[in-house]
Amino acid sequence: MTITRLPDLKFNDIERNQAKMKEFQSQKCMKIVTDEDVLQAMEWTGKLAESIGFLYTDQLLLRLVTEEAIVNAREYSSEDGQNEVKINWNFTHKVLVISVKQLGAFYSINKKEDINYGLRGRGLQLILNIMEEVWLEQEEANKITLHMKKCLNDERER
Amino acid sequence: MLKNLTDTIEVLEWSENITLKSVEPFRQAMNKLVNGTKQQLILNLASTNYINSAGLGIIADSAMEARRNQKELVITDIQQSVKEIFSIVKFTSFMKIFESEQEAIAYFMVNHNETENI
Repeated sequence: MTITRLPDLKFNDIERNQAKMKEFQSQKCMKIVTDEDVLQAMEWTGKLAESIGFLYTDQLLLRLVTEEAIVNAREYSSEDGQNEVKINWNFTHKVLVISVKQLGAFYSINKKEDINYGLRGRGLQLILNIMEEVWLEQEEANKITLHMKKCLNDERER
Repeated sequence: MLKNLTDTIEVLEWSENITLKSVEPFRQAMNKLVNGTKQQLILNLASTNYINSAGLGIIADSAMEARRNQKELVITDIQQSVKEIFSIVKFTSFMKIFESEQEAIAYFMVNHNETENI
């Protein structure tokens, strides 16, 4: 498991949909408390992905990553008796990084190849297979952040 | 919506995306499909382009439950996004997925006739 700090991503001028991107530049962070917050975060991810230029299928998959990461964080945080989850979006015209911060300690984020026939346990595997880079960061003693990065593939998307 | 196609085939046409708000109705609908009287079960996902991991778990568990009860659950009409999701979780390794309901029905008809001829 590689642990690295999130690199500083600048909000560069966007070649397409600059008006839409300004809307998202002001929505960098969101606290997640209710199910409606989760749906709102998914909606923001989808719109942001569309503005960057991801294909519709990838927009849906990025929404899925958002839902899975937040739901996992809420479940894990609530095990500790508290529930503090935040989501953050960092982006350039080609890169989207979704970061979900929660209370808790490090956990394993390894891809698995075996088939899961059960009811649970697919959320993290979906994230690891959809996103190009996934890593955990510990900024404070009992808080971790899951960072998930996807790049716009010029050959596929444009 | 559940529909009886033949004496042995029943279809669940699921008409929306499966996300945290809609997963419980989906679970109930799948329970009804799997616990019904028919042995050959079709889940038609033509109107679904998003399934979360909870929904995937319900589908996998339903397929295994069907098998335990000498039934078979197949899936039809999946959208491209769902195809990618299914590929990640390797559903094709233990469930049959057809392009259309007609192909699934034809598959079941062949299997049913073969069983009758034994």
